[in-house]
Amino acid sequence: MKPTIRYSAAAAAMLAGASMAACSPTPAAPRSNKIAVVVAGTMQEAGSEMLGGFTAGAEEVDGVNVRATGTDLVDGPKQVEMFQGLTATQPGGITVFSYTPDLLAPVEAAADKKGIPQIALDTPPAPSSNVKLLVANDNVELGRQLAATIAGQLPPSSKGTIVVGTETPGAQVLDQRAQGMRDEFAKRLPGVTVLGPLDTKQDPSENLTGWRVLVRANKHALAFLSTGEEAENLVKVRRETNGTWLAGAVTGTHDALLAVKAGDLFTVSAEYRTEGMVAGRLQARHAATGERLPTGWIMVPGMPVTPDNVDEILTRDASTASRDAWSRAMTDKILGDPSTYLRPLPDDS
Amino acid sequence: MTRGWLRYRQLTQAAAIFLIVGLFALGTIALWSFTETSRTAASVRRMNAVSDKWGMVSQSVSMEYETLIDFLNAGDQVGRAPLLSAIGSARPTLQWLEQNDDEPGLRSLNATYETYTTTLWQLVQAQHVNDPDAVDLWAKQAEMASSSVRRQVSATVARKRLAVDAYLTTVEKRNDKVRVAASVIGGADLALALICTFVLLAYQRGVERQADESKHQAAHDNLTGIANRALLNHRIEQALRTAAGGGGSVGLLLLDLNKFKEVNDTLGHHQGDLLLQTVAARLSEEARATDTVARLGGDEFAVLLPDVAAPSDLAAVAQRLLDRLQRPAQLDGVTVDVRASIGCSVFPAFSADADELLQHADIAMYEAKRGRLGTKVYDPNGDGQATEGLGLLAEFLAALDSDQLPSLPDA
Repeated sequence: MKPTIRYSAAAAAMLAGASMAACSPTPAAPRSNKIAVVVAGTMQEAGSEMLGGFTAGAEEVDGVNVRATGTDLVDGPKQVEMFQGLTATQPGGITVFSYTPDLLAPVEAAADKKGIPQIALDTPPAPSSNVKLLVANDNVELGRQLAATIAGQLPPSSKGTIVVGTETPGAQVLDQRAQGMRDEFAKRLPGVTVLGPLDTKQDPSENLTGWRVLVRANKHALAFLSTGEEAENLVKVRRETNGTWLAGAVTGTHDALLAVKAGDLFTVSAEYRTEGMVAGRLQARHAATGERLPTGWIMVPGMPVTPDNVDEILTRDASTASRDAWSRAMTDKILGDPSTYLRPLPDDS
Repeated sequence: MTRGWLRYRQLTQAAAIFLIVGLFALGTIALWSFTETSRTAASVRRMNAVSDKWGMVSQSVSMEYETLIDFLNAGDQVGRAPLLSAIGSARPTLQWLEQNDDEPGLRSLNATYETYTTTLWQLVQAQHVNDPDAVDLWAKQAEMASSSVRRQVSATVARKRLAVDAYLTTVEKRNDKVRVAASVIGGADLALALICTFVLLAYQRGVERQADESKHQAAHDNLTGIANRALLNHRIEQALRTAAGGGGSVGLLLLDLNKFKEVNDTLGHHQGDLLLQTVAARLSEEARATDTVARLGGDEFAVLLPDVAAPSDLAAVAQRLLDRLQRPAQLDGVTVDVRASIGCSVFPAFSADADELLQHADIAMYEAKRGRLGTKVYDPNGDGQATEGLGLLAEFLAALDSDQLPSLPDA
């Protein structure tokens, strides 16, 4: 049985500001079964998993034409061009994952005027975009989860420094994760000083160099954490230096999971695939049946990965089918419980 | 008529009320617009001030980094002091932003900036103890911190700029709605003002028409519709002034119906009234456009001829009038013979002023009636006899009033 969204009046009353009533802003626009997702960085875990999840979620619905695309690396202007192209070919609905939502705001607002239903994925839309549905993690919470996992490995009386790096300073979602880490460490390890977030660069080789510098400069640091997916280089440096410090990242790649299993890393998985699947299912249903898109923020929870549960996650990630099965169950849970997972849009969107 | 007037009045009242409401609404919109414009200007000014501060943070961080590069190139002796003075230069601006901006990323930025300044202090310390490896590491970390701060600031400034754009777009949309509302209300006010003007003009026309009717009624006989004695007197004065100035002559015919009383008594007053209307109509048909036909009262009529060549002409006119008049009249199926006597007088040949003109025409008419002459032009030579006759008539009428009949002269 395909999962459905059930929103009781009580839940709606509890969620002031979040509403399932609003839908495409121009109801008179003719419906199309052609939908799309455009992501930033298809070569990165976040982008590729969202594409996969979106496609799987949309394909659950019969009769929908899905186009999944994106920029290879994070490239805001190019993503704007791609989005504009999709407004002509995929008027049934467009989902966007971008690190530069402000750049996309004007074209999203124009698409909204045309009556194209839109979903923002992972990153809150700019207020002027008029996009009314966000499917995303609570990034402050992701940062807290990772910090809590790391803090759990250290005595509460620990003193020293913890270094936080970010590959895209200024990207709100990553800055929010950094803030979540700071808040959690301040609460659980009051004797620890948190440095950063420092710019560890997107380019893989520059990123590796950056982490090497930070590890050498802060050789007595208790931990090094990334706000993003830089686990591979972080683990590499740890192994190069035979470091005893703790490493953490917000990632769920296979290599990262193996590093967790090996004791070199702690991660929180952002569950990008589930984010994509939630958006894909909603977008496809709207295109196929006219089922209204909710208004607000559907919060997809992250998952801390530690040596205790890494085997389960590895099993889950063994195949696309098992990943989709996991995400499908999570999607059912999320869309079936709006009182827990549907929130008002963040203030800055 | 009354109902129509009430409708006009109600319409005017309603239009005036709506006009006042509309003007009040326009005034309110104007006041609101002034307030909103002022508020928008203040908001944009404040947003720009905040954006400027963010730019200053970026400048300060860049300046600190350039000072660091100078320090690394020039060495501890030369570059130390400038670097030390530059470290923390962005802090006052960040503190200002903490108090004046609710940007959520400010906490993260502050933390990164603290990391940056701490790193710079560590670098200076490493240089001081002559540890080049440590200097190199801290310099690289400082670059990473500096880059992080600047990129966070850059992203924030971009968001601020878009926020200003979005705010102005919202204001524009709101202004568009207000403009439409003001146009609609202004148009409605204009329409209401036109309605009020139309109603007032119609009202004015009504008043003028009523005044004309009153004026006409005051100067005309109610029964026959021709001029009354007042208007005749006025016209006589006018004609005499004109004639006196231009050397012309004015003729006056006074006409009295014979045996009119018998018509009234035998056929009734209604038939008598019809007879009077018939006489008035016949006189009017025969008179020229410049003549004035008047009813002086009872069965007495007058015709004023402003331009008469000679008394003989007047006699001819009087005879023609009499001929036209003395035709049988059909009064509701009853045929009545019409008989009349006409007395004529001429200014200035026989009469010197209006009173004399009337008096002399009256004398002539009396003579015409007494002598059964039909028409008679006033003869100044026979004036004494006529005057005597009029005096006897006056005495007879007075005696009737006092029941003392005098002895009548032989006919």
